[in-house]
Amino acid sequence: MTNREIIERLRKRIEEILRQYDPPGSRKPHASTARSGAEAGGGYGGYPEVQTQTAGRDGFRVYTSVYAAGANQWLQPTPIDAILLLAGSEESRLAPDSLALFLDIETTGLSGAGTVAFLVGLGRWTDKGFEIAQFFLEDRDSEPDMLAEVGAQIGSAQVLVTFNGKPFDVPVLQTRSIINGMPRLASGLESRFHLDLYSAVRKLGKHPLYGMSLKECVERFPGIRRLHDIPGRMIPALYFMYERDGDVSVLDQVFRHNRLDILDMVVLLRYLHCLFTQGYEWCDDSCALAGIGKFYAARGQMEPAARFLTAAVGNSHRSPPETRAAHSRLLATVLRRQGDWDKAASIWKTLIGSSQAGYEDYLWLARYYEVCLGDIRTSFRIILEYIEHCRESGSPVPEPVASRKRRLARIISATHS
Amino acid sequence: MSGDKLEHVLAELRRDPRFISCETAWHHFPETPGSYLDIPDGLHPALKQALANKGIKALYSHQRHAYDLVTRGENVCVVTPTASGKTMCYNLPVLQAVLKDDGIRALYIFPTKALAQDQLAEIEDTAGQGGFKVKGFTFDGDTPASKRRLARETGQIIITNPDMLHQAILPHHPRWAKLFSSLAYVIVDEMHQYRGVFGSHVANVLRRFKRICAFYGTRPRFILASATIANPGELALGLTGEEVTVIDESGAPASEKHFIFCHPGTPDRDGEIRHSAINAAARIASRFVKNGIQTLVFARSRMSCELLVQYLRDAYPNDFEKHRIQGYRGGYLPRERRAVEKGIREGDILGIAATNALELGIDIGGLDAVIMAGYPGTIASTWQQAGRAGRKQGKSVAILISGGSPLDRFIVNNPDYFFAQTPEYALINPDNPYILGQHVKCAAYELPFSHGDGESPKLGHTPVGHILEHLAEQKILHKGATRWNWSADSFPAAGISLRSATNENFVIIDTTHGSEVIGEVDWASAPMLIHDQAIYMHGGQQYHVIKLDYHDRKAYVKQVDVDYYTDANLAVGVRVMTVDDSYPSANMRAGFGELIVTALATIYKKIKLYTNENIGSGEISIPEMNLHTQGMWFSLSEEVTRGMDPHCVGGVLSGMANVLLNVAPLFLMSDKNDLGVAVEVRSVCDGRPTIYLYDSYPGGVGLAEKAFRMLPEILRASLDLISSCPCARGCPGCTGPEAQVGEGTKDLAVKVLKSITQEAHRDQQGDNREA
Repeated sequence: MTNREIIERLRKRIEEILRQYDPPGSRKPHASTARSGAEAGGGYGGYPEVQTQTAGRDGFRVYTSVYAAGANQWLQPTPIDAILLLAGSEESRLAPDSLALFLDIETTGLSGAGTVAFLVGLGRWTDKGFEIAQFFLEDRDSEPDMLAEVGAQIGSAQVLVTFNGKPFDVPVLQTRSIINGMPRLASGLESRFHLDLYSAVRKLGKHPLYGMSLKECVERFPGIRRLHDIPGRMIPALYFMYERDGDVSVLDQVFRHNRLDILDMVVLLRYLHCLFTQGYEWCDDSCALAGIGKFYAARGQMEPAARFLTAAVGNSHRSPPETRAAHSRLLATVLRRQGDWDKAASIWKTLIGSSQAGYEDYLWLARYYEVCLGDIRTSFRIILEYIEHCRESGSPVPEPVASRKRRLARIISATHS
Repeated sequence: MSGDKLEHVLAELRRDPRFISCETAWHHFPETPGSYLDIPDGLHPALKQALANKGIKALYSHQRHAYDLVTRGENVCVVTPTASGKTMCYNLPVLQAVLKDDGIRALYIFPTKALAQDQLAEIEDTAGQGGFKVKGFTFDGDTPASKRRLARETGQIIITNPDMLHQAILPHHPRWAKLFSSLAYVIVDEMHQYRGVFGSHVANVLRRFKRICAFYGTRPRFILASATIANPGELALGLTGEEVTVIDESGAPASEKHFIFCHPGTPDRDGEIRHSAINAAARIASRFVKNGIQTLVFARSRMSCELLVQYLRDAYPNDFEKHRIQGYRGGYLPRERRAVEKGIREGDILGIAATNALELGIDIGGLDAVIMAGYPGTIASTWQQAGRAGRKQGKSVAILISGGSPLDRFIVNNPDYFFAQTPEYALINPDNPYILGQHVKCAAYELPFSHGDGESPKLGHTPVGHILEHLAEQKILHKGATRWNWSADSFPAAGISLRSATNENFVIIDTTHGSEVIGEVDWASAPMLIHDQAIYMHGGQQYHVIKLDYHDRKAYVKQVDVDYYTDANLAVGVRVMTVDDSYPSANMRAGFGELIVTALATIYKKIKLYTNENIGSGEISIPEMNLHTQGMWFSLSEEVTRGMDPHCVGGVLSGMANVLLNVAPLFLMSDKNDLGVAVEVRSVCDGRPTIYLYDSYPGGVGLAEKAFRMLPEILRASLDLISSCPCARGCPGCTGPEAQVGEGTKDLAVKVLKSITQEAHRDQQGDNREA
């Protein structure tokens, strides 16, 4: 068997494997919350790649592809504000016209000193649409040149957007810079403003989305499915095959995979922005809504927090009672911090009426009666009610409850005497 | 005060006719004063303050010498006894450097992670005493992710182990760029642990380490510390590839010490000694403990350790203070171990039964009395265990009680042999192709090797071009225009273990009240210790093994109180799987190939406490454990054994195997423990008396292969060793004690070796002629 034949056979096998991973039409698109339901076919969501040009350099090559905006409902530029919001950053030094660069790399393995980024994809919005430049390492000896060029591109942008790039893509590029004697490049990468979409996704709480790949996220939410995509773990072997035979066509699928990843990031960013700003109007996923509510609450933005938590409670009829109670409790906290004690009190009452109340709910309701309404007796009754519960269930009375009882009893006896 | 109490018990022993009749040696080492030198003038004021606060007014001479040499830029290796202040030898120059320039970094390497915590505490204490701060971190498997980042970014002193260096630091060196680019000192403590195959691995890890340092432009100095071995300078050179100055004159004072050798009981009419070392050790230790003297008893096995805890507790007069007797061994949970260490240091614990888990540098301070229940196996460990006795002031005693084996009895019967012996050599062979090849792979991953500039690529000083070519053939590397590029989707360090033992453990779950994990047993010992119906002892408490879930590696136990323990029989055998090479000659046939060494736990016996009576037995059904490895063997022709009493053949084979095990490591630059021997009076292959020598590592590491090639030389050296050994009828250094291998073995072995070496010699000449 000649070398050629071996490779042909291998490539056939790869194709077979690929078919097994994603047989065309084998799966129905997931019902998605956004209900966009677009299905990705040939290019991206059925949108052709407008143009591809190749620029050759010494030892590395740059392939450029352009996609028209608006071809897909989510393939739209997202304002810099959105990036700041999702990054949870108070930073205001970014001008509205800042350049955001979407970064995704393909490597020869998992992170470690021996892993090389052989393909670096950088995407950005231009006048012509969304443009992806793919830097491909033809010859490893040219790595410093390619890294310098990639570094210059990243340096010209103000913002970096990645998916899981904080623990992976950026450290790999830093590692390569250090190994190639370019420590300045490594520290430059460190200081760039960086939105890792994965960390934004994680803010949606212990959601099914948590732990998903980019592909899965985009499939689950905006509802866009990739067909005939290559499994990520096959990628290193294909590059090694290219290195031995010099036939770059074995990597066609890898180039496409990289472009799809970057386009998916644009879509996910747009989608997440929409979810984080208006999701309370249309999203019916109570966990995601509660996660966003918590996100705002943690940053002291009580108004959106209340809006999202209200939507979370409203959509939680299918959730387990303890989840529902947790969302309600959080909402009550936000309302209280907004100064709306009456609304908060009605939630605590409901909680106490259900079987999901904890001692904090009793304490807060008692405090409401004591401080807001000046009704010490009702306040005291609520505390006694909880202590009675404890007695019935044989559990010890928590110290904060006991001390509140003592204090209220003192006040009552003082008013009497 | 404890000195008076000790003197009192020793006087009692001297007057005890039963003890004196068992005693074979009573050495008295008088107190020796320390040799002190001034604290260096140039020492940073904060460090001077720290020393002053610790009550240190002068340094031991070896500490001062180490400081001077290190600050002059030399590599040093400190070889002084236990508790002679070795830690100060490296902490002082390192802290001095860090105080002068807070950008300087140091890496401490300890063989186990248990020692790292002690070290960090010591450094932090010194810093606290001196009123300065130093950012020290331990970096091992237990370090949480958040601390790892902090350690990488800010750590001035990183305390780790060779395994972490190999698998976590070197393959991710760019993350450690800050450490590597300002690394000034590397500390290698417990250097004597790095011998044989393990040491050869560590030497290669250090070669890779130096290669990475060079990449970042640093060339750190090495400070090594070791227990006494015969060749510290050579080992330090082999490990670090650097010229190292050895400091082996201790300036620490030694307090007065007694070293006693004795048998466990007086021989009866048949000359048999029927008392076990454990009973005797418990009896003698109880005398000390009852008098309030802190006593450590070293046991040879985990089982004996637990028996000792029980016996010592039974003998302890105060029922409410039984917790003052504790055990210490592998398999205890870390927090249990820490608690015992603390109890020993603070004096709450009076009696400790331990295995050699406590031999290694664990900081417990000095004790008044150490009793060894059985010979620890080597001269060096005997001195190390005995070294646990001895405080800064006052007297101490170490007692060696012989165990049941002929080797034990020989040592105790011939105390002069012991006291005249030099400690063992620690040998390594970093260029062993099996080991080197694995590390070249790791090194190629960490930083590509270059080619084409006319010079062969090297790891350390060893050319490795041929290994790189081989890795390229296997498609692990790809030869680019200037470099060998890593070309496989794998992480090589993950598949290479520096140690032979697997980390796989069985968990012991106590189901007496609910279910609680009480400890662990390593995979290899499980069939012996936690088979169904076994009595497993832990911390002096007996547990009955209800069920061993072999598949899930769990043993369910319940607390019991019975008057027996269990002891399992292990049947060990060798099976030859392939014969890859062999050559015959008239007087022997030698072969090399793959072997399976099998170990099968067959039956267990129930043995009554104290009396050691056999009171029952049962079968064990646990799968056979196999070690698939490489081995070499040679069988003796009829010519050689003609006229020999058939009963003697087994003894001669054992005697020769014993010699082989002493001689072969010298040729193979390895440790005794890396090799195994087995003998068969009638081998399965050709029915002839056969001796096997194999690698104690799964898959083999090339030791037996080399021994096969060097067999004629090894046999000649064996003959030389026996013939020149001054002993009359065999000793542990040659054919083994006569009681073990049989009468007349030494002479017979000489005869056999003479006949096969002449033959081997002639054959080799024949080969040369043909060539």
